[in-house]
Amino acid sequence: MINMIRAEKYRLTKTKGFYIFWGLILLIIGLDLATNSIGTIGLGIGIDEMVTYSKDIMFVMGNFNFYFLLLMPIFSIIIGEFTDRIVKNTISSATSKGRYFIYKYVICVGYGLLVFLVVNIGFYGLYIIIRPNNPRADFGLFLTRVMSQVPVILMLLSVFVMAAFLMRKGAAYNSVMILLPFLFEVILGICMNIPGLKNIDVLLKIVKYELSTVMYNLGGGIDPGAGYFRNVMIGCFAITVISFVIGYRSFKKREL
Amino acid sequence: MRDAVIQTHNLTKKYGSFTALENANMTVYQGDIYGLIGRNGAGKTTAMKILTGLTDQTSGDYEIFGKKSKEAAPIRNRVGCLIENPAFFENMTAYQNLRYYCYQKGIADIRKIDEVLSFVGLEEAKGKKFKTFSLGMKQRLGIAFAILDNPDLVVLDEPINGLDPIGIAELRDTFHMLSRERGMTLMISSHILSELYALANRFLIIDNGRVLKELSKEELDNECSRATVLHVSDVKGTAVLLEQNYGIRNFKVIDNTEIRVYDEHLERARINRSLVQNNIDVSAIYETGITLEEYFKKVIEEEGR
Repeated sequence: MINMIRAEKYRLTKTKGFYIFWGLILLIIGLDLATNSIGTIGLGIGIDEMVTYSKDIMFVMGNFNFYFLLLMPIFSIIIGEFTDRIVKNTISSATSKGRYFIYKYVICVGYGLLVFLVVNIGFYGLYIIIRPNNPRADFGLFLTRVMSQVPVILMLLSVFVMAAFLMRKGAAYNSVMILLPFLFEVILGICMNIPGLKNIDVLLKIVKYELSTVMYNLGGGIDPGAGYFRNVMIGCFAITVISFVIGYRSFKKREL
Repeated sequence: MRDAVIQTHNLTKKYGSFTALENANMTVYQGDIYGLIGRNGAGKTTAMKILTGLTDQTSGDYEIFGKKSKEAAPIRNRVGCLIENPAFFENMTAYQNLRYYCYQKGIADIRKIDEVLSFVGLEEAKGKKFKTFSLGMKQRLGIAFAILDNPDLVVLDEPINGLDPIGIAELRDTFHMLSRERGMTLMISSHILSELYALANRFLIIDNGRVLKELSKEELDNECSRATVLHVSDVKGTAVLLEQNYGIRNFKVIDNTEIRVYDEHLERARINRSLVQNNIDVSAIYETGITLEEYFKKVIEEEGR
């Protein structure tokens, strides 16, 4: 495992993607801090409502950005090795298919979570330095809000790893995973505009448990009630386990 | 008796209704250079993929270093492979690619990289990106990767594809050296028969997923080399006469009526006369002998019937 992590670290730092990824993160943080306003991609969230929070908490509420940011490292770590079937080198002489999946899973999840925590805590630190007079949340509260989103990020990473092992092609992975939230939003938008559908229970639940809304609520500590946080945690846990099992089993059976 | 490094038992691989490999049995002994001969799509790569864990067999089993297929994962680090086209990270240099695999395999001594690169004649190109490599250079890097951690078994699928004649000759010497000096066992597939013949000491002929023949170089020589065929009434008497009168020991009794003499300078007229003088009837004397390609075709045709 240690050998695989060291190898992956070596390779990642040799790719342009690694620097583009961190450059993009710095750009987002830099723009947020420079303009003193938080930019985020939100499908079901009310940007107007966010302004009542301090900027550091707003940043956490807008953590749906990580859906798109974390697609990149998974691409580099997994899809990169499937391109031109480089993966054969490792499977034939270093490890088995099952172990390979687990190694990659652990590396992706570990790296993804590290990125998530470093960026959020990094933002908080830079926010204090650059905007010392702005109102901000206590670090304990800030960290609690960030940590409450970790199960969602874990679920996302698990789904990304599964998708990467299932699709194996960069074009398929990128187009499906990037377009998925937009497709979801378009369908949801259409449904919400159909008279009679707008108020049905299932649709309202989908909106409430839609990913950007979940991140927004968890980040802001907003509890819509009816065991919302519990349901989110159970859902995240279930999807994480299911995606791991599907990814593992499908790759074990895969012809290379 | 040498230890068997690979042993397969009725190894079969099916892709839907297509059988890529059917009840294949083979034994590779320690120190062998084992050549897999077959046309494109014969099942050579499938056999190698199963043995290297890239795909699972549909039925049958194999042992590698005495471990059955399901227990073979821990000994994979004793195997170096190059299956199908050599594939590496395009934007990394030859050195960086091998460094990555050094980390992955836990090879602490990074001097091994320079050693294997020089071994395959790529020391000058170690700083070049893989994407700029010619096919021959890619093959060489693939071989360097396969021998990076000094494995006990090296499995190479069509390693001489794309190499120029000098490159092929150099690699042949390299493979012989790996076998002789490092005691490596090599399994090499190719459809270039003459090259495989120059390399290997044991052969497996495979076609349409079926193993047609497993034979040593000596056996192959006997099957292919020019021989004088004698059809006689008394093979025992003929054998004694050949040995005692002419000092010929390089012959093989095929059956009750046929002897093959593997002596290029055999004086057929004199032998014929001697046999008749010794009351041995000679119904036919003729020369036989086929090239490696002809033998390969013959085996395929015979088994195909």
